[in-house]
Amino acid sequence: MAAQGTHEVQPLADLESHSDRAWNLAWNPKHPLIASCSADKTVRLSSYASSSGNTLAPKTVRAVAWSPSGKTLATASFDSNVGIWEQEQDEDEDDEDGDVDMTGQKGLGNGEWECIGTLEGHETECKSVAYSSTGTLLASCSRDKSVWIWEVQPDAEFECMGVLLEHSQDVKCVAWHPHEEILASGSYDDTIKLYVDDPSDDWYCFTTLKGHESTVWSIAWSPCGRYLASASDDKTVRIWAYAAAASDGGADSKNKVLQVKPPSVISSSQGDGRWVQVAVLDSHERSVYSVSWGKGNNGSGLGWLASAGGDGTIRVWDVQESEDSSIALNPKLIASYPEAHGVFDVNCVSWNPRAGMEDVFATAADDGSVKIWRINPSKEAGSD
Amino acid sequence: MDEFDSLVNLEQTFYDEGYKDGYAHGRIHGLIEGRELGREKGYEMWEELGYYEGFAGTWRAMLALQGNMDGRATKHIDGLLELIGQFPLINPSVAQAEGGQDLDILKLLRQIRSKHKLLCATLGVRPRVHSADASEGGEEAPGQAATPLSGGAAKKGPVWEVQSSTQSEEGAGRQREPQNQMLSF
Repeated sequence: MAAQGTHEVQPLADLESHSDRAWNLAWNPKHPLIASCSADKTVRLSSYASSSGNTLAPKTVRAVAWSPSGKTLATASFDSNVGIWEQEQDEDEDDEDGDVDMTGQKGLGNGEWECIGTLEGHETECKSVAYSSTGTLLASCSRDKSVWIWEVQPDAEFECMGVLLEHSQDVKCVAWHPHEEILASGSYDDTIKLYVDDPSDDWYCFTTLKGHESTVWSIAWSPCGRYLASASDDKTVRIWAYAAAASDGGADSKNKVLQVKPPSVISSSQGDGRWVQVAVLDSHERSVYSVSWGKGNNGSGLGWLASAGGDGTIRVWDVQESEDSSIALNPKLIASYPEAHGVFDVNCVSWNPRAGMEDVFATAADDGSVKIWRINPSKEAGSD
Repeated sequence: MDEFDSLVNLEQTFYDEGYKDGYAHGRIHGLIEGRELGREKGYEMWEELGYYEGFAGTWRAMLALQGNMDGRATKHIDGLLELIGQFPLINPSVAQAEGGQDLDILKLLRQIRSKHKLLCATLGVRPRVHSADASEGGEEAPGQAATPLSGGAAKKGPVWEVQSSTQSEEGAGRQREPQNQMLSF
C-alpha cells in the first residue's frame, strides 16, 4: 500500500543537526531558516538558502516556535522557562551577508542569536510554545498541567495574560487558530481543550474535546481554520470540527443538518453548536507524535495532513470536504514513507509555511537528524 | 394467624432491630468522621486561601504606597480578592443546597490558584509552592530578578531593604530561604 499512493515522498536533504534526539523543528515563516532543538542542549538554525548554520545553546529545549514576522524565536525549555531569541543586528547590514531569497526579501544575515528575554512562571518542564497568528500572543504549556498566555509588547517585554489550570495532567502541546484568537491544548489526560478570551479579560476554557483513548501529543489547525487535527498515543489521528445546525430550514427539528462552521471568538462563547469528531485515521502502528496541516499544492481541498510517530513512517493525507452534505471527512492517504529515520521514532513533522514551498516538509527524530522531504505526484499515477 | 406471626418471624424481628441499632450507631460515627474530614479539608483549603488573601492585601497596600494603583497588578489583585470572597466560609444550609445553589468549590479553587499565579507573574515574584512538603518558597524582590517580567513595580528596584533576617517581610508568606538563593540548573 505504501508505494501505491498518488504521490511519493522524495527525500531532499539530511541536515547533520544533532548529537542526541531531536525533539522539534520550526520553519521560519519569512526566511529560509529552520530551527531545530534537541536533547543535546542546543538549538540549531539551519539555512537552506546558503550553507550557513547557527547554534544557540540554552538548556535542553523541547520545542521551538517562530513569530509570524520570522524575527523572533521562542524556545520551550526543560528548565521550565520560555526563552526569547533574536538576532543581533549586524552593523553592516547591507553587505553580501544578507541573503536575498527568491521573493526579494532581505535575509537575516549572519548575526549571533542572543536570548533577549526569559519568561518564568512554569514550575516544571515546558513542553511546547506557540505564537498566535498575529504574533501578539504567545502560549506555553508544561508538565505542571498549566497553559500560560503572554502578550508580546514592544521591547521584548511580555505580560502574562492568563494562567489556565484546566487540564488534570501534563499539557503536551498548544496551537493557535490560524485567524482567530482561539487556543487549543492537548494533554496527557486524553483531552483537548479550547480557550478563548472573555471580554472582561479573562481567558477560560469553553470546550473540551474527548474521544482519544490516550495522551494527545500534538494538535494542528487546518489552514482554513475550520478543523483541528490531533495525534495521540492511541495510534490515531482525529479531526474535529465545530458544527451547528444549518441556518436554513429552521423549524424542522427532525432534519437538522449539521454544518461545519468556522469557530470564531464570538461563537465560542455563546454558540449553539458543538464540537464533534469528523474523522479518525488509524493507519499508524504505534503512537503518533506529531501532526502538521499544510496547504498542499493540489489547489482545492482542505490541504495536506502529515503525521509521524513511533512507527517511523511518515504518512500524508489529502483532506477534502465530502461531496454530500455530511460533515464527516474521509482523508485519503496519498503518500507514505516507512523508516523515514531508520528505526528511530519521528518526534516532529512540519510543513514549510512559505509560499511556493507547500510541498516541502521536514521531520526531526530520535537519531538527532532533521530531514527535509518533498511530495511529488507519483509517476505511475494518471494525470493529476 | 396474627398471634403466631411474632413467633414465626422471630429471627426477622431481631434482625431488623439489630439492623436499626447498627444503622443509628453507624450514623453517629459517620457524622463524627465526616465532620473531622470536613474540618481537615476546610483547614487546608482556607490555609491556602488565607495566604492568597494576605498576599493580595499586602501587595495592594504596597502599590498604593508607591502610587501605582491603576496598573494591571491592581486589577488582578482586585479580581483575586473578589474570587476569594466568593469562597464559602460556612457550610451551606440544607435549604440552600436544595435550592440549587451549587457553587463548584473545586473550580473556584482552580480559578483562584490561576489568578494568584498570574498576579505573581505580573508582580515579578515567584509564587510560594503550596504543598505539604514544599521546601522552596523564597520571594525574589522585584528588580533583582534577572528576567524582565513586566509590571510597574518590577522596574523600580527592591521594594524593601532585603536583609538576611527573617523579619524583613511581613504578611507576604513565610520566607524560608535567604533572599539571594537563585535556583541553578
